[in-house]
Amino acid sequence: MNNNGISKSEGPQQPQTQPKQPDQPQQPNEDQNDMSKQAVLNQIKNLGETNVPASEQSNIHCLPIIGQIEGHQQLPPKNKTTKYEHLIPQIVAVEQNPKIEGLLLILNTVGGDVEAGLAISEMIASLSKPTVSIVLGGGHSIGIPIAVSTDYSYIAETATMTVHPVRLTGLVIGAPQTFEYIDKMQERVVSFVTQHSNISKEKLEELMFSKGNLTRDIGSNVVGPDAVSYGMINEVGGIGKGMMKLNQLIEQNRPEGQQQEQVIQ
Amino acid sequence: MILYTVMPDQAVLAEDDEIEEHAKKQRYIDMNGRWVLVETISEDKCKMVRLISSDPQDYLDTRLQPGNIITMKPQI
Repeated sequence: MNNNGISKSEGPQQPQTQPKQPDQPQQPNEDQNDMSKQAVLNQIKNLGETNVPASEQSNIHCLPIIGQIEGHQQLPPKNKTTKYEHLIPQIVAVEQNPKIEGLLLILNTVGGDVEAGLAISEMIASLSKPTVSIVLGGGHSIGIPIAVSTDYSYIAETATMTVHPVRLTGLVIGAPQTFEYIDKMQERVVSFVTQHSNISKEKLEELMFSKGNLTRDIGSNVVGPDAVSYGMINEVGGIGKGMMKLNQLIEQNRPEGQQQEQVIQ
Repeated sequence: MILYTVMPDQAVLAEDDEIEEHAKKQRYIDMNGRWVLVETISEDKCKMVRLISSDPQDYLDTRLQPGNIITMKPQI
């Protein structure tokens, strides 16, 4: 599964009439260029496949997290989902590809599966490369641990994060153990968020169980600047600030020798 | 499965037959190492719906843009 296109030039999917290797430098000759363009066009027509574009791979990769976070169970198709099985290999590829130096996370999620959300958060938190997250629109429920899992987090001025208790769906056995089970699930979320951000456990639980903020429900809706003042998110900002921070972290992450090597190249 | 979401369960888990039919035609395929969600429009033609990639450059590639029609041909 090479969905990041790391080993692009291999595999049985490659067309047999290949005009040139994708990793070879572009020929300056215009005729040749024209010919290869034509060949690419033919390939589109014939095979529905083309060579990987010659454009350079970006050193920053981006994971958009939108809609529901889908884990163990496939949600009905009308939900827009971010799938666990799509994200995890991408995170692995980001970690192992030496050309990728940083990861940008863009969140606009309504929450989703607790286990999948926590798994993604743990994967991002354990990445050795610099990571920055930006919450746009919303980073609700299980989106909160994902947003705080990065090295540095941003939230748009108008974005919100809804903090509320974990509830159990489906068939529930009315026994004290059920309550304890949910409580444990919630504890996992709370401890992850407090470990990876500056918010205290007391404050987070206060927000989680406060009354009167959400109509007929407990919890709070935390707007951008408030999330920063509670310590949940590092700073209010968008893509510009996020990229600047990520590039700065990448520079810091680079060992001295490698920095020079880059200059020489 | 424990859902931790602001959406009501009924909204998340509700099935919609019309959309279901639509979704049946969709599948993920590997295109040059990128995952693409395509919708089958005829025997050998697919329309691109969604690109799954973490490389931001891929989203600038016109061949990978949603709405593109691709012709599938079996390869030997």
